[in-house]
Amino acid sequence: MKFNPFIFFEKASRLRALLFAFLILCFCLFVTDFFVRRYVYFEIESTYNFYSIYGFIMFSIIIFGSRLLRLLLGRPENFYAKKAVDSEDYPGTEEK
Amino acid sequence: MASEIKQGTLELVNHLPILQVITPMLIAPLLVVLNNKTLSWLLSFLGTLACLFISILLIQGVSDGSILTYYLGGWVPPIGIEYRIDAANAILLFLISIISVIVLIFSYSSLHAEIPEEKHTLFYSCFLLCLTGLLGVVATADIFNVFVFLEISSLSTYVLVAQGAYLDRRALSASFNYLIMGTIGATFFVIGIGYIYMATGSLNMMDIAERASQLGDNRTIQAGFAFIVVGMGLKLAMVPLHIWLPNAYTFAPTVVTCFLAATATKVALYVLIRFVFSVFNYEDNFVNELFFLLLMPLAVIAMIAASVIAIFKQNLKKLLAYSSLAQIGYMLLGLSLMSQKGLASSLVHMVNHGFTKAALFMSLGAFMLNTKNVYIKSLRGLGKSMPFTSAAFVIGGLSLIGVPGTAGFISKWLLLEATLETGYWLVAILIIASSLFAVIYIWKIIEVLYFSECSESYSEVSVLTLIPIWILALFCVFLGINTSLTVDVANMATEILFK
Amino acid sequence: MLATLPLPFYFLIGGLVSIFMPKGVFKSSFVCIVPVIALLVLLNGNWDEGFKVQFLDLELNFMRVDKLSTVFGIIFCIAAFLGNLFAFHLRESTQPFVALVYSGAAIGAVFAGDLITLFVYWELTAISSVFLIWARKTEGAYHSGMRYLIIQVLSGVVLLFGVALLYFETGSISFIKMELNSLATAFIFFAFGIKCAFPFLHNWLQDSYPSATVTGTVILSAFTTKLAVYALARGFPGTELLIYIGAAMTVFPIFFAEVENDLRKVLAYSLNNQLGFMVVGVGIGTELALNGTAAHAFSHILYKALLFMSVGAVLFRTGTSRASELGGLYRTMPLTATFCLIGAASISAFPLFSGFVSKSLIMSGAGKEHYQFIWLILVFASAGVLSHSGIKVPYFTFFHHDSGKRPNEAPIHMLLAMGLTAILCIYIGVFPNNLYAIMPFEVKYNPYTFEHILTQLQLLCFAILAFIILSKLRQLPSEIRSINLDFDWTYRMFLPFLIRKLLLFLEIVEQKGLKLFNKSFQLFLDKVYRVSGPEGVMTKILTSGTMVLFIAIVLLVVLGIILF
Repeated sequence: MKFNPFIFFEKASRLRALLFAFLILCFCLFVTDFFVRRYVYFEIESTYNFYSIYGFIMFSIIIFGSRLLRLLLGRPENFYAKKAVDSEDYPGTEEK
Repeated sequence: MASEIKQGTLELVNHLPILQVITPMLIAPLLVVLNNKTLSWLLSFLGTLACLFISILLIQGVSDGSILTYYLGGWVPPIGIEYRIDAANAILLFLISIISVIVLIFSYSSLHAEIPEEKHTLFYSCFLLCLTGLLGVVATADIFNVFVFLEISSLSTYVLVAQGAYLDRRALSASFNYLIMGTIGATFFVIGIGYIYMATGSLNMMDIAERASQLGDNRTIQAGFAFIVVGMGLKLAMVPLHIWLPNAYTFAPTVVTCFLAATATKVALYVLIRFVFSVFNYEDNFVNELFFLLLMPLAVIAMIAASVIAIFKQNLKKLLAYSSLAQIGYMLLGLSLMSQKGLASSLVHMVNHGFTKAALFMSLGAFMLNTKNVYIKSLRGLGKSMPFTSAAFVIGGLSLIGVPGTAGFISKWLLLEATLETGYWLVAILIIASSLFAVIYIWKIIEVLYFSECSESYSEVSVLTLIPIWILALFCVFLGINTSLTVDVANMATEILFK
Repeated sequence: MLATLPLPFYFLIGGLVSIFMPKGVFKSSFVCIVPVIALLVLLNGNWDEGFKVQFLDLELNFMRVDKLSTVFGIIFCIAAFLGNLFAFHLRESTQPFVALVYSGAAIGAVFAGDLITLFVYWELTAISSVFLIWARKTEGAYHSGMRYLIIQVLSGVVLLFGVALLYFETGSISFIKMELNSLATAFIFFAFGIKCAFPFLHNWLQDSYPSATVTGTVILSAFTTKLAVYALARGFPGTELLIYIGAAMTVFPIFFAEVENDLRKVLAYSLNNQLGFMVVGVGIGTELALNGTAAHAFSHILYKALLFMSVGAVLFRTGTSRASELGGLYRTMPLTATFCLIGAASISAFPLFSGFVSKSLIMSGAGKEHYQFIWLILVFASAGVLSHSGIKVPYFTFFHHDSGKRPNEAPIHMLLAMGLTAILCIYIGVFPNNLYAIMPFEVKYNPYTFEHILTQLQLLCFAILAFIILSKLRQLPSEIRSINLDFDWTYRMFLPFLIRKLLLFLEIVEQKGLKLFNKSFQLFLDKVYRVSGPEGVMTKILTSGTMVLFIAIVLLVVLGIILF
């Protein structure tokens, strides 16, 4: 078997380390903003850590908004027709 | 302008106008005398080939905007009969001749499937008479002569349509209905001629135009015009007078349908155009009013209603017949705009639709050779087993819809341009709507041809059958790319007519 | 000389030739080489003269080569090459042929110097591309393709109508900048809008792309919509309406993409969202923004193709592209997973990837022109892109919970196609100046400033953080086999329903009306029958007597009009 970087992180401890590294990165980014004076197009952009906060909140809005959307508009796969593309399997593949 | 014939010279080229008409007329009785199936095919084929050759010479002769005239028997009009060829009728002579050649090639390999062998000689003879009539109507400049040739072509057409009885007895009643309608139309036409003669005392078109302009506002002439419009309306299948057409086209032998659909109605429309522009004055109030108040609405109705009806037809011949009605609507619309561009689009569409419809009917005929019936269901999966015929049908269909690169696009574009120029927005939108309907009914057939499973397997028809079909299909494409034959000639014709 | 042929002709001729080639490696190679030749011809040819053709009384120009059209021409050639390479395994005649014709048509439309030529190629893209959907050969794909075809052809018809009107108004058919101030230009704008998947006109995209074949979707994703973007950039730059349309386009697909199960449909929604950025760029219309649109289209075609390829490879191996049935494929398809991640990073605009250097041009364009609200929406949309294309697609395909599937790694030619695309994505990201050099206007922009990298990383990392937290809290929308209603409900459900009702109603009216008609005319018709003999097989209305009646009426009307 060739080397597969993804399998390397299968181990829970390594994955946790990766996650930890990511958290540290986030923290660094958060702190760095304190030291940087940014050139801005708009007033709002100069708010402390505008991008971090905006990104975090907006992402959450997207997740909850889309769940609401599914609640309203979600339908079973064969809603339009019994043999619609939505519900059929891709024809003629080599592995079932 | 007019290159007058020099009396006493025997140069063949000066006699072209009469040769065009008389060639098939002389061959027709000969066939009956010889009474040999193969020979009569060969003779008629050679005759039509000669016609085609002559018509090409004539087109060359008038392509510089000149007018060729010929005095029958040397009698000078208005007493004698005059044949007068200009760009407008040269192009129609060409259309009729070439379609007759192609149809004859097709009939060689397919006629036996539709008409019993012992009748073939008579069939060809009738066919040539019909051809004579159509060519004569177009070539002559004498209005009574128009009537005579019209009757020649009509009478032979009734016989030709009735030949379908071999396969389907309903052809008889269709032909009978056509006969009644046609005869009424011809009667109206001759009544109209009578009125005109009464008022002007002349039968020559140019002469009448001159005399009528001196008469001024004349009720007799106006009534004559009314009768002629209705009479020709019948012949060209204007919408409420169209009832003979679908059945006649459906039950006639395919060869006949092919020929009629490509030529007969166009000739009638040509007569109407010729009368409006060369006999009457197109600037007169009553002409304009009639076209605006009646013919344009009728044309638009034909365009839409016939297309919608076509969508629901299962009998393919009937479907194409209704589509023909819609296409006649386009031509009539172009004419009724009473503008140079409109008339040009009408003339161009005559030619383009002639080729397109002939291609469609002929490939349909090829399908029928195998399937033996005309219902849409029987075409299932033929796209695979008869690829060449199907491809030709698709090309014809695309041209009928008006897809760019095909002949149909050119004429629709011209028509659209003409309607927009005149400011009829709504009509322009309706033209597009009607094209969309055409997409639907053509698609319906293509879907059956290519997207459904084949129930029986057929083999492709013989090469001899494919050749004429593909000539027509290639014409559909050729005329969509090279417009010098159609558009330029039509522009010249409109200039002459609108002089 | 061959070199003087208009570019699309290489594709059309190549396509025709390919039909007659025996199916095999040679044919597949040929199909790949055609776009390369075309690209070489484009770059080395001298096109100052254009390629003018007289048609009716109009002068057509098949090759209007300037900077804007060249950018799109180049990327279309590259996309055609990559798409055909990805489809190397195909041993059939339809798809390679259609792929060439389709890409050729799109390129032809890009170089069209007049609106008639544009229209012809516009329709050709529609008619050719639908076969990539039908090639799937299922009933569902057939219907989906049909809907696609109708909408696309409709767009062409609307375009033609607009062109005809414009020609009548101005007497010109040249394809130049237009003002959205007349019926004619409104029609043209609408036609572009259909192809560009404006809100409420967008459903053909999400309907058709997931319905095409594995390889067909890759080809489809590159051309049609970007052609529309090009047409807008050429015809309507600086039209303010486009800014708001574009902004709406960036927002609403995000939510649909987030809950959509079919990953190719997710990518189709994400495509819609990316188009929004380009449309905003066109709407702003400054040099900076138009550069941004061109650059973004360029890099977008590449990373979107890469994403469609990777999901396509998975579909090719497993037979499904549904998020609910995939997961854990990193074990056996690590290379595909890597390429997918590169595509995801590019589309999410991570620094050093292509999206970063192109999207920021548009964002700065919006910022410089002080569209604060639009700018906020674009930033929001950037987070949204990350959510569905950046995270959802790779995460649910290759990671997440194990689906138990252990497919083989993608075939070598697919890996090659993905690898090349991935290299291009990174190359553009690392050396943006090479991309900027071919932009329509001079670019004075450096994406790699410290603050730009910082803010972008803040945005993305904290969005990812939100994802991780919500994922731990089990708040993510679950993958279930379902679909979501979109605006296509109106024509897939509501309209047919309405038509059925209407037909039913008409039938009733018709029957009632016929009865009435029959009753009142019975006496009269009876008489006519006696005159006209046996009924035969003709239907009632069609007797000769009725016809004659019609003739009489028409004659009366005609006489009436003429004489009074």
